[in-house]
Amino acid sequence: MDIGVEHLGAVIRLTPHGRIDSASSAVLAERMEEIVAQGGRRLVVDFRDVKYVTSAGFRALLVGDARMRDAGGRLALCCLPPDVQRLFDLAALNDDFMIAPSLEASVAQLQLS
Amino acid sequence: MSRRLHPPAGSPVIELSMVGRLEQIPYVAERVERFGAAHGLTSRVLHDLQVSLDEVLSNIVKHAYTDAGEHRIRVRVWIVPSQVVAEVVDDGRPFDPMAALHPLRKSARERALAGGLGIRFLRSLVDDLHYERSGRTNRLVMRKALGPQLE
Repeated sequence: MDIGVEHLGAVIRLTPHGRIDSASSAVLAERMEEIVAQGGRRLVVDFRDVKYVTSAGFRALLVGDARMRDAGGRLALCCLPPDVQRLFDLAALNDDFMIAPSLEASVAQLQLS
Repeated sequence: MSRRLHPPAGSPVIELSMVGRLEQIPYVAERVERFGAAHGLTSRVLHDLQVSLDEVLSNIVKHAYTDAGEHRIRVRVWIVPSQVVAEVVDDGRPFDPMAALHPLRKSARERALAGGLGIRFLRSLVDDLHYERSGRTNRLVMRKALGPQLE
């Protein structure tokens, strides 16, 4: 899986492309770990190009969120396509993440938190 | 090998065989997506089918094998007028996803971390699951209604 990385001031934006599945979720987990290790404390994962997220992907996101919080940082998620939002609903994990409809809203949340 | 299900004559069908390793799963998903799209499945049906297949295949790869030998998994998908049917056959240890029980968790977060989320997705995203153990083979058949064909 290809993951775009962009710096928006103090906020780092990750844009994964395609499937966050049992094979690729490790790549996303690794990328989030690296960001925390390198001192990044404000991260947004932008889902606009994500086709789907399997249970392995949800585990990677929960672990990434916990790592970021342990380091005193914040993880936000934005731009969930409708099918991906449906998976968050099924997983009942909407309240476990800071989710916003747009990149701008996520960046604003991260800058305030 | 138990009796095979036969797709009705003339139904579009794709038959795939993968080595039981995680990195093979996206190729199966990709092939199924192209097959489904070529035969008019909606993106929502294809989405749910691919997530379900990933959960089933990754579960087999991670938990079904008790030796280090190479195992193969066979996947067939076919389309009938009202449903898409996906059949997964593996030679791992018996596992019935419909009978899988997970201890009560305090929260959705704990369930997801403990590994109960895949089964939850599977049960929610397909309309019918049928599991059968026959000899040394597991066969899981998933059926999903096609619903309205207009997006």
